[in-house]
Amino acid sequence: MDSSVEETTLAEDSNPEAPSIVKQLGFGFWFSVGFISIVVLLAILAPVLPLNKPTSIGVGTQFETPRPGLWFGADSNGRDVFSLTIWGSRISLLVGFIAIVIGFAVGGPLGILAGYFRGTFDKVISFSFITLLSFPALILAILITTLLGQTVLWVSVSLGILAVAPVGRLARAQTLVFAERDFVTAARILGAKDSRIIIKELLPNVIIPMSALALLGMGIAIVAEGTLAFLGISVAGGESWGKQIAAAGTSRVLRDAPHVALFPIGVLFFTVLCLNYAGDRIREVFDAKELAL
Amino acid sequence: MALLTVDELAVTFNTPTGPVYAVPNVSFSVDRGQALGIVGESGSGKSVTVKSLMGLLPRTATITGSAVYDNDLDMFNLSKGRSKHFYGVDIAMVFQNPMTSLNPVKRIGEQLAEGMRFHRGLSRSAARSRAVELLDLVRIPDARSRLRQYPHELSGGMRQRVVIAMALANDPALLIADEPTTALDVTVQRDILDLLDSLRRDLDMALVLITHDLGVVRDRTDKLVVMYGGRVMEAAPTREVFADTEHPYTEALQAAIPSMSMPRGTRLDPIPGSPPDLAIKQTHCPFAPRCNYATEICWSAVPAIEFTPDSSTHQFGCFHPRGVAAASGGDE
Repeated sequence: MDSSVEETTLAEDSNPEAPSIVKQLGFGFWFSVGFISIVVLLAILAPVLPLNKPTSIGVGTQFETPRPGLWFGADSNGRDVFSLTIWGSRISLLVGFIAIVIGFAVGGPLGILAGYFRGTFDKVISFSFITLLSFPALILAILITTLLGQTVLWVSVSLGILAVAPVGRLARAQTLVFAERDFVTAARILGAKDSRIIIKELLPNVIIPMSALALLGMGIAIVAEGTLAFLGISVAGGESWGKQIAAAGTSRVLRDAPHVALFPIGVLFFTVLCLNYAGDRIREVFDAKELAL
Repeated sequence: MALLTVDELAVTFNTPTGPVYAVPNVSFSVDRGQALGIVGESGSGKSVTVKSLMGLLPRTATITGSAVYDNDLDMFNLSKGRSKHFYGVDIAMVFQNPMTSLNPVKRIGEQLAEGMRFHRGLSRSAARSRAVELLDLVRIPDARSRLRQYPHELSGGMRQRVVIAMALANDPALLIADEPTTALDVTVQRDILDLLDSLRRDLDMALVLITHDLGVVRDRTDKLVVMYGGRVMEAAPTREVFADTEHPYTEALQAAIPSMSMPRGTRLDPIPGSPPDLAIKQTHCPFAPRCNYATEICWSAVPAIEFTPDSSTHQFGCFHPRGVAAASGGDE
């Protein structure tokens, strides 16, 4: 800290609380949040929106180009691509969300406990993370979905398992950073138990970089679901962005009617981009805070 | 009346590569309201000594000897009930680095209140007004509005004041400050040291000031313990340590301090070599390898701590004490 900082803190009130967090996160962040909110809202409200049924064929002519009322055009069966994209978002978003929840629910506590208690427990946990990371992801996903079923749950679980190791490693690393700090020692001197130290002192510090990872991870999971769909091993029945893109991804369709694939690709791309950007902004803004320490 | 008496304290760490004798033998005492300075370079065992007193050593550490608080409380065998309200209440601590001793995501007020609510069962509002009092006490301007601030909104010096305020929350009888200014700008260092000094007087609190800087303790402590290799080299009232230096290590430390009165171009006298390897059990004076006056006897035994002939407060552990030698007409 240099003396100018000392002065401003002494002067006080001329600058009571720097720029607010809302401002610091910036336009891009809030734009991203807005876009994601709209996508999520449309997904939730799909059943009550005045949309063509995604299953009804012949709403438009085959590969009809976009026009008012049929905003994204029609696919090979004349189905409404706009309606398909909105209905498809339900599975894509749900799978992404559940996967990251599983990753956090399992990886987060394991990583924090490993980083806090160290010792043999840490060695075992860290080794299992490494093992999990070196296991071929696609094989794992194929294994789980073919053995247990191509349902939303099992697709999410297979992606969630893949998220456990990266989430756990970040949680462990962040815990290590803070567990050695004097404020933890100070809490211990004051008589705080391990459980209190972890929940009250460490968790609030660890959660910030973790929340950035949650957004990034959700983006990755959504893309991963698309990959599984492309391989035909995502959720059976129902629509998802991945399945839409897979169905329209043949060279003939891409050449003759690119809009059928491009619209879901565009929405998927934008959603993931927004998730990543929002996550990145959170990390940047709060990292800068850390640097000021 | 001794508030804290440490007697023959020894700390050994049991590591996979064998024992490390971090502190082979340390004894000292602090009276109520007294300021004690513990001086020594890195690796001299200052911090380990303090950590053992605060109950912060890992389980791999073996502690022998005794530490008695207030004449009847054995600190190494505290009952569960007593230890719950001992640390942070009777004895509090200020850490070296104010950048890491505050939780970055919690408001100052919340961090100040925690200890008071836990140990004294204060209500939220009572803890809050006490927190304002404490911030006033450590001379942080505009205390009330600070409570809502986060650590990153304060400068290093201000943060160390907050840390001190937290330590004072439960009116400790003894405050241990482990290198409280090492991480701060020199201009701020002085302010913090003066603050600690005046708080000690105003609150009639004993202070143990740990530092590697003799200059820091010179005018701010009543008593001084000079440590090296986990042993006490010299212990005496601060004035006597400077006026009647007995131990060659203390002498060497003083020679290494720059002074404004030195003529331009004066070379400082660094102490050659490095501190002893604590993994080797000491069988000779730990300072012998770096000492200008070492003779055979220094390599054959660890010198016992003894009093100077003309004082009952000045102790040292050396075969060739400087002052005594000079008085008796030079040595070897």
